[in-house]
Amino acid sequence: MVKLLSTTPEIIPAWERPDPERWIARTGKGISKRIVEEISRLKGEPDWMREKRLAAFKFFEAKKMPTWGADLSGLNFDDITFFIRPDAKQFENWDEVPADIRRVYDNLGIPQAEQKFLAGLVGQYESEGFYAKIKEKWERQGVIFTDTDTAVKKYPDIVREYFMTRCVPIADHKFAALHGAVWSGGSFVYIPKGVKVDMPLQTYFRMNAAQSGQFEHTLIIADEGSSVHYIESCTAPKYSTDSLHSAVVEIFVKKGASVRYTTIQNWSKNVYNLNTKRALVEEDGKIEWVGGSLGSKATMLYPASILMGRGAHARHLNIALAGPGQWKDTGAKVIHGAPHTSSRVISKSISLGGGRSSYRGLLKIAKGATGAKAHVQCDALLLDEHSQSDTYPYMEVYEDDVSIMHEATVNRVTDEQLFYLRSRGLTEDQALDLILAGFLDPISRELPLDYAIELNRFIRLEMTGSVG
Amino acid sequence: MPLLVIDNLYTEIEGKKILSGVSLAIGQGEAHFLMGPNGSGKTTLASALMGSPRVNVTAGSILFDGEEISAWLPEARAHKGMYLWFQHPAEVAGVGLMDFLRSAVAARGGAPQPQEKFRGELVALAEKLRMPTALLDRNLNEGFSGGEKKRSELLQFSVLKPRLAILDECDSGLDVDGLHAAAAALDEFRQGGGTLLVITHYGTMREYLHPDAVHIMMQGKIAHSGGEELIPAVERDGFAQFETA
Repeated sequence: MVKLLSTTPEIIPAWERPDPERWIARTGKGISKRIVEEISRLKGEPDWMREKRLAAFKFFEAKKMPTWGADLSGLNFDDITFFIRPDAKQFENWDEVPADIRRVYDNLGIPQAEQKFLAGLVGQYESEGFYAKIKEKWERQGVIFTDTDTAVKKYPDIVREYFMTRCVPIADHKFAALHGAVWSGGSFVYIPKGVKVDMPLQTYFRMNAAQSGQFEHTLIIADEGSSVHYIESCTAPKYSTDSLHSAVVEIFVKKGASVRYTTIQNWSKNVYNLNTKRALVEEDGKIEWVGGSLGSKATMLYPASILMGRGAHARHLNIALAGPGQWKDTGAKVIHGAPHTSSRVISKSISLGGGRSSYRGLLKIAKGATGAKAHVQCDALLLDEHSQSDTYPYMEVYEDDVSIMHEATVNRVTDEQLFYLRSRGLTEDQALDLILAGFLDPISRELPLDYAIELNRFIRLEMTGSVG
Repeated sequence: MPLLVIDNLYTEIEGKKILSGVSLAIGQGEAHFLMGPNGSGKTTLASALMGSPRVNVTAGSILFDGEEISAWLPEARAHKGMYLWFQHPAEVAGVGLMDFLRSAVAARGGAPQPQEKFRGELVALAEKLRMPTALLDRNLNEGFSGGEKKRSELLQFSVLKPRLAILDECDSGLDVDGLHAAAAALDEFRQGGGTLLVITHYGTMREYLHPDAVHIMMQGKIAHSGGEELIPAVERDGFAQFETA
């Protein structure tokens, strides 16, 4: 069991404080065809990408806002700046990064982590990457790790084949279309056949300017028999006005390859966080999604695994924290499209201080996916009377010879429980720590230790702000 | 000075008066029984003594070992040596009984013990108390039967070694073996100088513990106090005989 840290944190965490704005180009507020063209022009993109953006924009205009899930009524596209170019070139060396941006990353411990634990790092500030570096060992073996804008120019053939084509097409839904129109930054990962990258690749996104949008696009291609662990983290400072983050992640897991995608999202609590993440998994491939959703005002995120090849496997681990004013509508989608595919979903949510968390999941077993095995488990913990949790599990099964398990639990921490634990000598904090650690134990055990401690620290921080 | 002195205690729960002037003193090493009809306020008194946030003390005082504790947090009372054996212990999902006890021992300033050593001691203790050791690996009271919950309370009592134990119906729902094990543990506790306040509906425990005093609680106050001989009187004629006009 991982012990939660009981230190009292500072009132405003460092990542919620704005840093000085630093940009050289930005579009006007709102979105229009002209702004989409402007983004493409500023980036000096090839025609095919500009056309893709414009096609996506048409879909965006035509589609209605979703009316299910989290409350998006406060989201006003006219108030948002869709593209902000940071005043920084591309660097491969932290010493050259402008001091104020460097300080942001130093405070978050990113360059140190890169040294010790990572095979490569991409840093993004506002809409574009400013740092990309991969250790030579991996570069020599043909691993590509760079920001997606650079990839459009350096590897146009690969990008053109995989970018918003068959994984997340531009017409998928309103926010995928919006993303297609205004996307900027993100990471591009290519792992050649048979290469097993044994240290994680990490990207760190920082959205600093007020009322801005961040639309990074991450494209991961793991060729046959390769393996990689990719980690993404995001933060933004706290402003009184709302921002929008709408990312797309597309992952291609080829035959026998294995990809682990880990993300900790800690956007400040006025960010609408509406993402689309999807993996296409071929024969005997493995995809693993590990997600911690801590920040944001509203999050809608349901990583999807499309198991296309025989024996493909998906694993989803998700922790969502909904504090005061937060609505987390998260879950998982798994589509079993081939025989002997298997999947395991573990989703844990914690609601406190009036927060609301919803589990929304789809499990589909297509005709012909004989011998498919699926196990979904979603557990909710409510820390008080005012918080809310709900579950929307959808299941479509078109094959008989399958094994499906669905478990759901909801537990509320009661005053009786707290009094009981305190009567044995635990303080209220220690009692809550124990309950939380117990609740998260099955999932924290699956995480790398550093990550688990970090996650617990975040949760602890949220709780100190709103409990007791 | 007695270990516990309750003086003219008044309490409310959600605005409703429950205790109205309870006074009681228990000397170090003594065992007192508290009896009374349902709803007379026995459990409220136990909760008030342990500092339940639900129970609002509106007047009076509680002295434990010479200190006024009625404003103390429950955990502070526990650290000071008080233990409440709950009539209906809470079930806590996700928290293992053993992990919980280890945290509780550490929270009370005990040296943190290696897990394996702690486990070994706990298993030995559970066997002595005739408690199925499988319960140690279950979640705290979750899905426990009535008898298993009593055994969980007994085990916690034995591990935490309090100075004063308030037992709220420790004997109801226990089978004969459990009753014997509990009585033996409580007797040992008393031999070692431990102090007991035993809330009970039945006289059974008397055969094991022979109380120094018996108090009858009626309508939120002590209506009558006496010796062990009160118990057969209650069993024979009920509580009506103690009603004050």
